[in-house]
This record gives sequence, C-alpha cells and structure tokens, in this order.
Amino acid sequence: MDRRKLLKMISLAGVGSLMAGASCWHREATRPSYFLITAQPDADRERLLRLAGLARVASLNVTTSPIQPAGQDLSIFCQGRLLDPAQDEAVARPMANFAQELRARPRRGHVLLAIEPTPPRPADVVTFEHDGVVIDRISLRKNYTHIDVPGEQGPTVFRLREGKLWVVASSCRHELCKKMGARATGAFICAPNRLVATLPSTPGVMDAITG
Amino acid sequence: MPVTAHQTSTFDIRHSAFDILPFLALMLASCLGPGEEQTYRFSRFAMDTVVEYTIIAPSREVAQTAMLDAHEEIERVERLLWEEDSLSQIYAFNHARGRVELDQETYDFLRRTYDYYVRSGGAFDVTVKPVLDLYDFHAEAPTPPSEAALAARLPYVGMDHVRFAPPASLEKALADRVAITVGGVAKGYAVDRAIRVLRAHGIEQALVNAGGDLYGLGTNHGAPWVVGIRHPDDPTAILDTLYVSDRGVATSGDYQRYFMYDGARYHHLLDPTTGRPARRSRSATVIAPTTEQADALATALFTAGRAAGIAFIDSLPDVEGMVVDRDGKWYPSQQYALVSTPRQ
Repeated sequence: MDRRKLLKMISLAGVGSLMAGASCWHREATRPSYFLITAQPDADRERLLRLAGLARVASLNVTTSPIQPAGQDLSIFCQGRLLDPAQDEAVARPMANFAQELRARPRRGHVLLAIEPTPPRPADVVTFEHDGVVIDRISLRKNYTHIDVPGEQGPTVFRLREGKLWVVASSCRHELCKKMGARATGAFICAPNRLVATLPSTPGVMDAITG
Repeated sequence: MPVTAHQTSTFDIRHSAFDILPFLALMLASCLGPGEEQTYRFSRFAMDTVVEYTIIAPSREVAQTAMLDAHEEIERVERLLWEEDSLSQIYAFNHARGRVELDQETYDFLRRTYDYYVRSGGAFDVTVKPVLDLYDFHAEAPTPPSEAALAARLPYVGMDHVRFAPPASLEKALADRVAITVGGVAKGYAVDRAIRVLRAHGIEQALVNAGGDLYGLGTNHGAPWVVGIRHPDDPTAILDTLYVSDRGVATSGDYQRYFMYDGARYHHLLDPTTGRPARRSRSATVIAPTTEQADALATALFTAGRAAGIAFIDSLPDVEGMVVDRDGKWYPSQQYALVSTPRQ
C-alpha cells in the first residue's frame, strides 16, 4: 500500500481534531443560542434574527414563554459559555448596541424568547473502506448483530448497537481492533486487512453533553 | 462489494416507525389520543448557565407545567446557596463572625460537602474560597496571585476549620477569614431538586442538564439517555459516550473557566493544598446515583488525578468515572464500561 495513503488512514484514528481558537460564529456546528427578555417580542425577535444572520435559516427552535417581569436583556449562549453581548468583544457592534438599547428601556419585559439554531445533524453513518475505496456505509441509527467486512486475510466482524461500533472477531493475528472496545467516534484500522471503518467526529445520537 | 450486515429483530422504533410509516403514525396518534407521550424541550437561565429540560410527557402543557415548577425549584436553590447573592445562606456564613444559624436544608447540604471532603482525602474542599478569590477570571488582563498572597490565605483553607453543631449551626474555628464556595456542587444539588419536582408531577422520563451537570431520569422512550463527554482539547468533539438511566453525570475540566498567563493555563479547579490550579488532569467525569455526588466527585477526581483519583472512585459503590490526564490519555474506573457500553 502507498505509504502516504497508509499514513492518511492512520491519521483518521486520531482522537478529535485540534480546533484551537474556533469561535461560535465561524463554525456552523456550534451556532450560539440567544435568550431575549423583552416587552415587544415580535419586533425584537425579527430584529434579533436579522442581527444574528438567522432571518432565512429554516432550522431554528424558537420558544416564547411568559415570565415574571424583569429588566429587558439579551444573552448569548455559545460553546457552554454565557456571553454578555454588551461587553464581550467577540460580539459584533450592531448586536452589542441592541443589547445596550434593551437594557436602557424603561419598561420591564415579560416574555422570554429563546432562539436556538438546531445544530446540523452530523453524519450518522459508519463508512467502511478497503484499500482506500469506500465499500459500504451503514446507518448508526440501526442495530446490527453482525457486520462482516471482507479483507485480505479474511472477514472482520463488527457489531453495531445504539450508535456504537465494536469488533467481535478479526482474521488478523494481533486483533488490535478488538481491544479498542466500543466507539461512537474515531476509526478502526486494520492494516493487515487494509480495512478502515470511520465513524463521525461527533456522534449522531446524543441527548446531552457533559463538560 | 458491500459488507454483509445482519440487522437485529428489535430496532430503533423511534426512528424506524417515523421514517417508514409517517401517515400510519399520524393515524395511530389520533386514535391513541392523549396517552401518547412526546418529547418536549425547554431552556431556561439559572446559576450563570442555561438549564436544558428534555421532558417526555403526554402533552406540551403537562411538560411545561412540570418544567416551570422544576425551574422554580432550581431558582430557589440558587437563592439559597449562591455565595454572591447577599440573601443566600452561604453569603451569610462567609460574612459572619463565629457561629451562624442556618436553615436545615443548607446545614444538611454542607454536612454532605464535609463528607465528600473526608472521603476524598481533601481533594474536594468547599473552603478554597479565600484562595479562589485571588483569581479574577473576569479581569481584562488577569494575572495569577503571588506566592505571598497565596501563603497569606492558605491557612484558612480546610474544612477542619469549620465546626458543625447540630441541628443547624456552623462555626468558623479559625478567625473569620474562613469562607466557602459551593460552585463545585451546588448545580448538581439543584438538578437533583429539579428532578424531584418532575417526579412529583408524574414525569418518569426526563433529562435535566445545567451546564453539563445533568440527570437522566428513567429512559428516553425505552432507551438509555445518551450523553457525550466533551473533549478537553476540542469543544466540538466528543471524547466518549455514556448511556445512563436514573443516574447523575458531571464533568470538571480545565477548559471551563480559565485565563492564560505567560503560556500557562490558570483554571478554577484549585489544589486545596497549594492554592494553585490542579495540574494532574485535563478533565474528569463521574457518573453517580445523584448529580450532587457526581458534581463533587468529579472535582475530587480532577484534583486527585489518575492514580489516587481512580482508586478513590473504584472504592465507592455505584459510582463510575474517567479522567483525562495532562498528557491527554484517559483512564476509566473499573466499572466504567457499565455506563459506556450500549446494552448488549
């Protein structure tokens, strides 16, 4: 096998990728959520959607709830952090001005508006490649007792359940892939069989994140 | 040639029924009436974070009513325990001299923090506040405290400086410089109280997540709640996946609150013995019967590090955990596979 191709396949087994400095506004996968306390929800919602560049985004979860009267305000939730748009330098000037204006309003707000972009669904398939060629893709949303993948030395048998994949039988001598355990992300590589099974970098089936 | 795949006879009904038979599902829903349970999601603010509610209920009204009461309970706990709130019991203790009378709930809560302190060998310690206050994470150009500043305050760190006098009194044994911060465990307690309220509303399946401290009540339409552990190096990546039902989960990480100075990261998880950020770990995740336990033990595991920390987790019944050390390698507790492997 070509050495560069082998190195590329090995690199797929790395644990996540380094995205130092990535901000909410640069990556679609981490669009922020907006929480607005207002006394004029319809007008403010439209304005906020325009300022956030979400006016034409279809996949939005917008909820409106009555609350005890409180000062009108805007907060942005981004990558696990609550931002103050009036103070955080990462927030664009028009949004910061909107936040300042909200706080200066004399009337107390009685509606909480939560605008949460639905995150794009990450790939929820596992891709099997032999010698760099894709031979099949299987949905992670289904369960399989046996997935037999042919290889140079014989089949490698996987099991897939509730979004996690693991190797139950291997035809090669060292069976290193069996020792990797059940994985929802990353890749299984069997160099003797020239086989790579690639999972998404973020799992497709997730109810919550901790950390 | 494609792979040969044998699907199991029981599959993910949530997705398959909806994908393949949408019209039949709609017809069935109208025939079944109000008994059919759906998933409803809400987000609210409290404790400096967003609290996300996922509630399975027969109607949106039922789910929303339960959520509003649960959130009111979280806000009540916040008023009770948030040390920056001048009306809170913790604020009262921190600004008092000598002996303080607390309400029973706060006293019992602090008694439990003392238990975590003893069992963790001091790795979890709510009395770190005097040194924690020396780190201003919100400053424009934050700098770490000097050794002299730390040395002046370290003598006031240690729960042995606090005396518990039943039924509900707390006394500062060492001058009045002793102060407590419950940020490492209060969110977990608040989530537990919210779950209690949801249960009282008859909710049997729900997930309450307060900034990463969460509890999975029951199941998600029959399957465990699936929880991703954030990768300490990449906020968009997942390190591992947990499958939980009636369990609390919490993670302590050095990326949650920190500033950089001279190329070094100064984060909020301090080593109580030095007053400096604990350096053995990058993140620690604990799964426990309550979120409060998970919250406190995650902090302890982070501070103690791999060797002592995992041994400590292994010594506790019904508690699992994993820690990522400073080299990025992760180590699970003995029973961790119970929560990280899907049902067979």
